[in-house]
Amino acid sequence: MLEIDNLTFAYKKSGNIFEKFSANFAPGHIYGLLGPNGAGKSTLLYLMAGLLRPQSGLVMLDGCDVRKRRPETTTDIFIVPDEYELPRVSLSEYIRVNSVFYPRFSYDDLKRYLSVFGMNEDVNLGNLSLGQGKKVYMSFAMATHTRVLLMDEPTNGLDIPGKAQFRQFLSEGHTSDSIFVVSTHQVKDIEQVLEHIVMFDDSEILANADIKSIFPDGNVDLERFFNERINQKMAQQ
Amino acid sequence: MSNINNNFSFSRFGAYLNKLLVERWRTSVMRVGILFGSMLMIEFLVSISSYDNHTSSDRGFEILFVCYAISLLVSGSIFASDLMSGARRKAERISALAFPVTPFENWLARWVICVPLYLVTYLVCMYAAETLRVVLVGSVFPQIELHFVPIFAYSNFLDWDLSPAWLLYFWVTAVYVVGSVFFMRRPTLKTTMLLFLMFWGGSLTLFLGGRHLDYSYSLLIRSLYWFAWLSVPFLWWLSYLGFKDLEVIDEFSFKRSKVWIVGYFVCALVVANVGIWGQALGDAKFSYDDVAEDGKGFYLDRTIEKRIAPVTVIAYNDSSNADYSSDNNIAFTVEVNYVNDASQCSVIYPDEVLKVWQKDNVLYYALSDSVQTNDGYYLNFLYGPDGKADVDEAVSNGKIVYQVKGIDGKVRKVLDRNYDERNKARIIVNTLPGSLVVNQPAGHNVYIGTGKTRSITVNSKGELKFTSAFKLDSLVLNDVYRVDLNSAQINVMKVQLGLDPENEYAGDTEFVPTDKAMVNHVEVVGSGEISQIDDVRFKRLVLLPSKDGNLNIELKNVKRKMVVQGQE
Repeated sequence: MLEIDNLTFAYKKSGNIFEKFSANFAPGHIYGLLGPNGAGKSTLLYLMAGLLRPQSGLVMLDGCDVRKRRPETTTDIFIVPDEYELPRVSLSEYIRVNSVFYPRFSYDDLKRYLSVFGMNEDVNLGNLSLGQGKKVYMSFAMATHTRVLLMDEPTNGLDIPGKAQFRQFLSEGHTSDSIFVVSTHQVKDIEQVLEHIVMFDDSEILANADIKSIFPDGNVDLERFFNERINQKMAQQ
Repeated sequence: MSNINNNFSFSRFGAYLNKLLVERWRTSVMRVGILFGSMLMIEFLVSISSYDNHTSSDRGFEILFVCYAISLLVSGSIFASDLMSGARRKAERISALAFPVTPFENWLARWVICVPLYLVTYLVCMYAAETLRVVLVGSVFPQIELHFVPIFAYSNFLDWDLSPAWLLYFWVTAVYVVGSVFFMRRPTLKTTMLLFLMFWGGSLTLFLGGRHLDYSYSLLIRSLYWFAWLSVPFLWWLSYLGFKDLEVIDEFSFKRSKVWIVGYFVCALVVANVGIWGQALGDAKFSYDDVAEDGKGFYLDRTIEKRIAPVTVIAYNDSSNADYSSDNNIAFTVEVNYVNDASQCSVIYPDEVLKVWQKDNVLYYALSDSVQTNDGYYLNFLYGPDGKADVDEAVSNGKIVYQVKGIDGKVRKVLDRNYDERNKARIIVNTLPGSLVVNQPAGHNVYIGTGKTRSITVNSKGELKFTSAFKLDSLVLNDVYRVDLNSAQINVMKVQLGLDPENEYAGDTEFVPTDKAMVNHVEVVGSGEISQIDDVRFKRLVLLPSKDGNLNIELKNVKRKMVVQGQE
């Protein structure tokens, strides 16, 4: 269980992003983080990965404070950021030196995930395009089988087939003890695979529910839902 | 999750180090190539400009040493700034910080690459280039004795202590290691600016406050030296602290590691300034607890003052047979000054080296018990209050600062303007005018300061020197080796020459030329040689040679009537 407990965080210039924010992420679900620009979706992912220090409150993975960045938590959390840099080495070399840190890494699964994206392992990371690099990086992340996989705008840079492949990719990699958290603006790209959404703005959770409960008829339209909730909030103010 | 080691794991550290090396290998190989190529270019340029068929010594050696030293400092600093390579920009830092190693393993692997591994690489490249030079130049010019550039202190062909140079290297690179964590953007430039500010700040402070410093004795220099050495691991630790605090979004906040880092540099500046200004203002008191060079060091210039009754005899009284004068190149000198009041009579002497006691009107001195109980071979006589006085410089300047722990218990600094090789250990006796007899063995000297007294008798094979104007009724010199009358005015001077059967020259007496001294009546007695007496102005000279030996005297430039009287 990944728990966010009374989290308060602020950037110097923009003030409080979260104030006493709490949420729980249980295994076996694919979570979607939704919110308007500046709501702090990426910031929340960084906080969940221990990459930022909250002013107060904690993010805990099975009771361990992730901010301490101890191997017991970092081995179980993989974050795929919106921007990333890959070293200029071959993928096989990259796998050789990086996979040893992830006890559950599976080379066969990596090949399977790459094949979902129509790629193979015989590539040099320095020669890949943005989208190809993202596919490789996400495949590696998924193959590590960390219990928490955090993805920030994963469909950015993917071509149209790539977005469809990504949905398949998520479904393939998802297991009963894994927590996938996907932050995105492009809800249409992934709304079919999300199982649970956490929608927030100004530290306020506007929605924290299963997709099935929000759309019992199966007609998932997160964009409409998003707009309704934002308008509702503005009307209340 | 419970099986994961959250503490330091060698295997994980090794794997991470390997990962960093593999992922950076292209850049690293390119850098090493540039480095080695530059070295070869320097070697080539120095070789063609320094060696030819007419040269037998290694003229390029020192130029290369300087080139390598400077390039090591510059390139080492640049590499040290590269600690955060692959974690500087946000896109890089996310994967670097979230990687499943401990922050310490993460930092240590980076530090190993940027500091020790780079140093080793540099030295390997340097010696490879040096080997090429020695082999190629040696084959073309076999008459030249070529040397490799040394990296350790005091090699047998480079008389330089390299430890300060290594200190500078490690301290500066440690500052760059901290700078790489502290300044996320342009760390090399910003750290260089910080060092420039510190350098100019320090220079200004030294200029304003340090002009009165006597650096050869300066405790400050030694304190800063050790402060800087201790700072090196501390700065590395600060760098780790900063690394551990790093976050993906770099917002400066004066907290945690930032406080330590800023605190260190402020502290370093304060320590330097307080030391310099404190000493410059002249209020700094030397302490007897200063750090000794080693446990066997004896400070010749740390003296204490004791009250004594007026004395008429000063005598060396030592049962020790050790010849400290020649073994340790040390000379003992009794300096006598005359005071007007018995309450001002005192003796000042280095109590670590000598002991002094009074019996009636006789003042005895001898080697201290601690010196006598030491094996003479290991005696380490130190000069200057801090043991760091540059004796050569003091000899050339004729000045040395020593300290006196006065009767009141307070320590004061005194500038001795009569310092030379022959008076390193001083016993200063302040006594009343009258009769004075000084009994000394060879190697001990007598200095007489300003005053007016009746008679002085010196029984010594050392030197007698009047350090300033002096009036005296009677001076008796028994077997004194060298006499400097300076500007003394003496009524009667008797020179007793004594021929030592073991050393026929021991009985000679030599006068230092002076045209200021004036002696009314000179009497030379015994056998031996008296030299340069004609350079002293005297009115009457009486020679009384002994029957069993010859008295040799050379008189030149006699311009006035002189009576030479034979023995009856």
